[in-house]
Amino acid sequence: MIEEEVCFQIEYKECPASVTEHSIKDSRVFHIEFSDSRKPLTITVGQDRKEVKFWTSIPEGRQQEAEEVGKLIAIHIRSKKN
Amino acid sequence: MCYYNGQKVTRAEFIKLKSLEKAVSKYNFLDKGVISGFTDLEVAVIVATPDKTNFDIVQMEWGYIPNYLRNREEVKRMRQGYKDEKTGKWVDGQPQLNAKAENLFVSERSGGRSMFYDAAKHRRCLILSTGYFEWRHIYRKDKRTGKRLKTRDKYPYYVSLPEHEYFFTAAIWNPWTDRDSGEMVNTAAMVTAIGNRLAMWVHNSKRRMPTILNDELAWRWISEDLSKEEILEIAATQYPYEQMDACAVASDFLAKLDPSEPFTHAKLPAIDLSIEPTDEHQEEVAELPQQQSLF
Repeated sequence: MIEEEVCFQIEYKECPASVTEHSIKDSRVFHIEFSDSRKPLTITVGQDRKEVKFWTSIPEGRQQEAEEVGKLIAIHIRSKKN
Repeated sequence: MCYYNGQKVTRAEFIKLKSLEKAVSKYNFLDKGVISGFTDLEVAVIVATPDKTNFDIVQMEWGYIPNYLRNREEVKRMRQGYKDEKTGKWVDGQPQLNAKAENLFVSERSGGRSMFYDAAKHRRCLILSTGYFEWRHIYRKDKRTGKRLKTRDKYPYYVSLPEHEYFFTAAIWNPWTDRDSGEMVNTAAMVTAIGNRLAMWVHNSKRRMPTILNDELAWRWISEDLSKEEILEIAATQYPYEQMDACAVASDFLAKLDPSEPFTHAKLPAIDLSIEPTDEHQEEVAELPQQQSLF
């Protein structure tokens, strides 16, 4: 189930967080561990009916955090590519 | 019409995300292999929620940092040791990975109030573990005279609870702030007890073991307002050795794909759990294969 595990750091609302990337059921899943008391967050990229991609938490319930943290992860990944 | 997290998605996408949800719930994000307290890695820690009706799993730095340390430089000195400017002597480092059960309230050194006092009273937690590594020391024997030599070899063992994939170890934690950088970090120390029979065989130099708790004691440890006596009683818990397993592993186990893979060391005396180890066993001697003489 584990293809590879990539680990990097982001800062979310002034709180350092470590992110690991996992391949689960052929989906790219990111697991975020915050350094404060916030619960760990797991997110992935979904696709809506108009085929627009969106960040979403797994399980449901933390959509806003998923979108905000997802953006930071995307920025990090893009910066690595450049 | 299907919605996932408020987003309108196709039925196929909904099924995909729901099935991913199921897979994620079984996925082990905590699996980080061997965590060494000497590498500044974080450990998975269980703390009770403020209302003490549930618990959270968080990560903390392993190695208790007391609040009297001002910055990371002082932490480094405490953990790694330093040369005393007045005496010129080297002061050994104290990583504070462990807190002895008997020293939670009384300092081992001074006999006064322990630096763990407040944490033991108000900030108790559990470190999640799948097993731990400990070293057994065996002295070498002079083949000619049969006497024990000063040299001793260290053999690593992997200790686990065969019936439990994970187990809880009593711990205490402290929130610490670097007064120079403003860095805030939660740090933890694992509570240790006097070793049970198995621990005395394996960790034969110090004869101690982590305070492993069953589910009931673990929950009490983090959720109840306990008296000092109750805290000390739980902290001194010796997990039944009959429910534990220890196997020797390779000396370079950290470099192995599976560090807990059993390994047979030549001449390593077997552990006999049917008997209580005595002081003599603490100084076990092994006849080790010697290099052939070139002359």
